[in-house]
Amino acid sequence: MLEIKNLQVTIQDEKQKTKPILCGVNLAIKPGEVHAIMGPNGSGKTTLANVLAGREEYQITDGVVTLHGEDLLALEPEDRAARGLFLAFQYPTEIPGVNNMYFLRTALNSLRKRNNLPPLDAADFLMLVKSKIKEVGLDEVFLHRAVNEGFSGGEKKRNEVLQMMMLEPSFIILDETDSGLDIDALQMVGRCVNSLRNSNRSILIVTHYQRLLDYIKPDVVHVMANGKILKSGDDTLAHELEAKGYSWLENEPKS
Amino acid sequence: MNTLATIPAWLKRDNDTVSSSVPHWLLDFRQKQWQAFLVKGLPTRKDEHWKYSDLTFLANKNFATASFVDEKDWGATIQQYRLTHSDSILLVFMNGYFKPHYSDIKKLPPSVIALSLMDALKKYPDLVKANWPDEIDAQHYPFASLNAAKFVDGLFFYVPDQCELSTPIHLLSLVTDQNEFIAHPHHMLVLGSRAKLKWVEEYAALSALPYMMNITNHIVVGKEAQLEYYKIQKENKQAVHIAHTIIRQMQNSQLSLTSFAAGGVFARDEIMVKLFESGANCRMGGFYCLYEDNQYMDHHVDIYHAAPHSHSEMLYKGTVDKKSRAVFNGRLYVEKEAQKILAYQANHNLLLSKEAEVYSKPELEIYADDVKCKHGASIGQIDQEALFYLRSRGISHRDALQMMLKGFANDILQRITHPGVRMRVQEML
Repeated sequence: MLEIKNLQVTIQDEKQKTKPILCGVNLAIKPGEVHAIMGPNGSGKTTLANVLAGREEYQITDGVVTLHGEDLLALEPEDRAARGLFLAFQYPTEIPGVNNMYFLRTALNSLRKRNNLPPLDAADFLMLVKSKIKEVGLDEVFLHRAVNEGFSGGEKKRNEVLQMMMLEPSFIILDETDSGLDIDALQMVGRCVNSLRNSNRSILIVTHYQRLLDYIKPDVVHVMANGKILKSGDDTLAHELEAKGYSWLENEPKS
Repeated sequence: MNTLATIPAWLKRDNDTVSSSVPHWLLDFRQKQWQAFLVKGLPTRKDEHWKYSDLTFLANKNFATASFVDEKDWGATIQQYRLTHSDSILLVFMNGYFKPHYSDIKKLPPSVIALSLMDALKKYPDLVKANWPDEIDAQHYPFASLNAAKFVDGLFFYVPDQCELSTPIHLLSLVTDQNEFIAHPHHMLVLGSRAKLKWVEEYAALSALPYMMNITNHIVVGKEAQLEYYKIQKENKQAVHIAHTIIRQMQNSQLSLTSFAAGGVFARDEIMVKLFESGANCRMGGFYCLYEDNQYMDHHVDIYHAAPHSHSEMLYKGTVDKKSRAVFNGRLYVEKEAQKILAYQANHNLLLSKEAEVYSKPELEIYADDVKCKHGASIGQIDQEALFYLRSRGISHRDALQMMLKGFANDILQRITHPGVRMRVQEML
């Protein structure tokens, strides 16, 4: 499904100095698989998520990324979404004046149009959004507010999950969706992601902690540091990291 | 003084228009205003009030006095401008002349007076005189002086005490294909005490030829009266639109004024609200969008708090694209005696191109000591993070941008209570 080969990414810092962030990332995720990427702050996890979604401020200096065999990096962000890619943001942006419900409906119908499906009419949409918002535990008043504006951290994360549930993407990236969430919200994220889990859908979970992985059992766990994947393994690796921290891996010679 | 030097010859023509059929007091007034205009001349960029307005282009124009030949039936065209969603009472002006036969005069309650200002001067001379403004400050408002001296038509609209009109009045100003003309419509709108009115003033063109509208509105909002006022300005791309709206508010009166402007090559809106008596409130809002190269748009809003316990609010926003220029100047003046004032003033702008310019100047001038006033201004660009967020959900770049621009205008659009007006404005933006 998703294949990343030797991805190298740099960014210009405030002093216009080029700073490498990803230094040759290799990753392959098959349909139906759930992968988790863990790693210390500044290891490049969020950059990887953003580059996959198509954020423009990064320079891709080398490497190839394909989704369903297609060159992902050549696509505009909206075209990536149309191919089924979805990123739940670490810090969702507030968009003043843009009604949340209107946004959800425009997004859903834009994706349907790109995939040659007829738009969902107002009544069907309303029914769908009302059932999904219940699942993510947000009050319906949030549909009538501006996108993320004045939402608490937890409410923003729930709104990300709501979008994921509405758009039913085939490749989901969760960028630290668990950070700042209480136990109830964490369980909700687990429940929602598991409800979407099937043999055609792949999920990439970026996280600092093993907690979320108690709810969503990953097939593969990767450890990232200094812009590289240092180690991959099954979900026992997550427990090992939780117990030992990251330093033992950074000092270990590359396997 | 360098008299007459700064006025192009076509504007100095005295070919007049100052009809002998008007009452003496008005004839005096007009002559004084004409002299004042000639002495003052056209403002230059040395005038603080006109710092960003370059009027030198007027020297190359030769606008003739507007005329309107009723040779074809405009009825069907005019009907296309009728507001949708609910009933409205249409009052039509063509090239600055009132056209009663295209207007819904019959739909008005019998107690409401609506007729050409020239006819009102004959039929209701005392009523017109009683509500006539005092002086016009030619130093600041030379075009209002010019209008006073030159107007040949306008609407006189009088809502008597206690009269509440639930159907909105739609004053529609259309321009036909007369080339290079100048019109000076002069409207008077008077609300008696406890009167209630919804007023929609719309400017549009049926032709792409250049012309100049120089409008003056005199509005009196009586004691405890309520006026909901909308202005929609979408003159054609070559039009010059200069408007002065002078509003006097009496005790506990309420005014809500919301304007939307997109048209003209040079557009300047001067609004002066005088809160004369205690408890008078005004809520001013506006949205402007400039989408053409060399377009210039200017909003000057003056609120004068002359009485205690009066409130005012001013929120103007705009998007400025291509090589266009927008100016906002909001001024709040609080008299020494005007205590217990609440006032808020803000102007926010979005620049959509590298060549677009905005000059924003919110001003406070406060002589009372027990007042609460806030003001602010901002000039920014499209939030790239938000744009990316929308695109990452499958919304195209173009649609995402449109959503954000609409979102930016949203708090002004929300002020429109009439669905037909909202529809008209959304089409324009």
